[in-house]
Amino acid sequence: MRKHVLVAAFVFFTIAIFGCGGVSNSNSGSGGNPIAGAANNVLGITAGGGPAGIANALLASVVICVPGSSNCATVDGVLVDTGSSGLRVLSSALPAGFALPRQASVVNGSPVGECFQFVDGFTWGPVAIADVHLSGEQAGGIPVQIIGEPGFAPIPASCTATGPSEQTVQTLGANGILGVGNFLQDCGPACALQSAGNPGIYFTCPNSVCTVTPQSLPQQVQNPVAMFASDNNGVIIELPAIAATGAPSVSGSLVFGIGTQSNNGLNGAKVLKLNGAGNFTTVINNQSLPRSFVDSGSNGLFFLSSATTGMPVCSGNPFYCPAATQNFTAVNTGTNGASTTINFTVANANTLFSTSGDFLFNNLAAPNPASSFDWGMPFFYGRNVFTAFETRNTPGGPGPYTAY
Amino acid sequence: MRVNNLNSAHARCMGRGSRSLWLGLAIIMIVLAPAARAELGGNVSSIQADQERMKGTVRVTSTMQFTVHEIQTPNGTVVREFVSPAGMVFGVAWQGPWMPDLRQLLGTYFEQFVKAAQQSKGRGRGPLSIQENGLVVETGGHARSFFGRAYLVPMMPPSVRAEAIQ
Repeated sequence: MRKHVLVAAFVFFTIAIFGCGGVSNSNSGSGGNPIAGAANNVLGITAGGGPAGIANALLASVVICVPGSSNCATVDGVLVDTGSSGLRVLSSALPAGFALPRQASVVNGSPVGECFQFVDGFTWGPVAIADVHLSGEQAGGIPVQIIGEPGFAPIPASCTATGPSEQTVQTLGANGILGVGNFLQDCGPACALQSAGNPGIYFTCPNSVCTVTPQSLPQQVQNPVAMFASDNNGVIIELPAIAATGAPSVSGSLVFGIGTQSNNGLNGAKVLKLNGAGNFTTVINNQSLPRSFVDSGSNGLFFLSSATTGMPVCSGNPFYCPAATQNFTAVNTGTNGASTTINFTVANANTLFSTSGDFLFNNLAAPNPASSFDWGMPFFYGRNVFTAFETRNTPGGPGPYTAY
Repeated sequence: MRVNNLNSAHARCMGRGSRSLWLGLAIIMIVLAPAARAELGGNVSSIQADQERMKGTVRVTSTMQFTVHEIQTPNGTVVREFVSPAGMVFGVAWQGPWMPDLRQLLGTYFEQFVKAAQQSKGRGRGPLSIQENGLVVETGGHARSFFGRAYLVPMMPPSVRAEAIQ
């Protein structure tokens, strides 16, 4: 635990320094990618172990306020996730006595609960209304999720049926999730349906018993950046390169907007348009993987299998443990036909984890069960990665797309 | 649900020296369990229960080694159940915008999956890969694009590779 406390302190310290200004407009990461300095549309971020001490966590500090007031709380150690949309904060990470107004259902006036699905589990808790401040920008009065609020309605059976719960720092891996993915809302049109096609994400909870309810798009948990008054068409994640042997932590920038200010131009980044599910195609080892994506919320590179890569999985953890570091080449192609070639390596995860204090690894990888390459955090080091929001115009055309 | 919970309790208590008691209870549970209980490790007749619960339509395709029962659910997620020549569900796979009802699909193995997944949380965030006592569960994807599979290694027909379960 001591290590975790120190890491959390370091995260806060670096964010505090970053936010104090005095940084030039453009620093250069050791990989050569430019990293934006302090500005109203730049939030300092830190890659590190975070409050749960996990590998490759990308973290930010978020300020949330009771709408229209100066009654605010700062939550650090919030995971920056391009694989989902919407802000979710653990109830246990909020100061005692800090209470946001709950969203009331337009159907029956009861509190609204949400069961949000991640690939590794669900979060359950009420939908609340908050002003969200990220650096100098604000999303006013937007729906957010409070995870694991004591006294809120019990978790519905249809929610626990989707996987493990992520209601604590250890199971969530952070104090919250800042979802800045390609979608404007966390669920989208499906959750507004009254029919059997509704996936059952939103609930009304009168008398602590919850039933699935249709939830209109504006009522759903919103991508906070898309709700800014400006710089609201996408984000850039800018992190320096790290050594192949690993690193304890690095600082970078989460930049709001694409082509809206002098510090967020595409600068020749290749635009890979995404299909309706948010995916492009990766080809590797002569295999085409049509459900591939870039995701800062995944802490490794997830692709193929032991059988198809020849790399065994470690004993004791799910990552690859090749006897020697392996080199790979992959080609990513968007729905617009644009493609890029990526070279990367996979190291022995047990060797990587043996260095005490290192949380960041650019060569950490694991199998993936389907036709998909999940380009997680190792992909981000030394690259500026653009996430353009659906329907929003940018100099690279309308989103959704990933560019780098 | 009651049947599932008791069976999982049975699995957890085996190591505590109450083996014969729980074995006896398990036999009673098997006798009492409705025949059409759909789940991993169940028999082919159980798939109808999955279809009814998921309000889906089923399409059946066969290969030399197994039969695939594909359930198209109204919310767009497709579930495939892989049935051996002996009529047992040895694998399930899913793909679509939302997670399926894993409690229904994994049946008596659901609690084992959840427990193992919670214990593996220290590895960080991302796809799950659970391999425990012959049960394999793997998930992948991101919000609005999920996929995964689960299978029982001891029940896999000879010459069927895990990659076939998709």
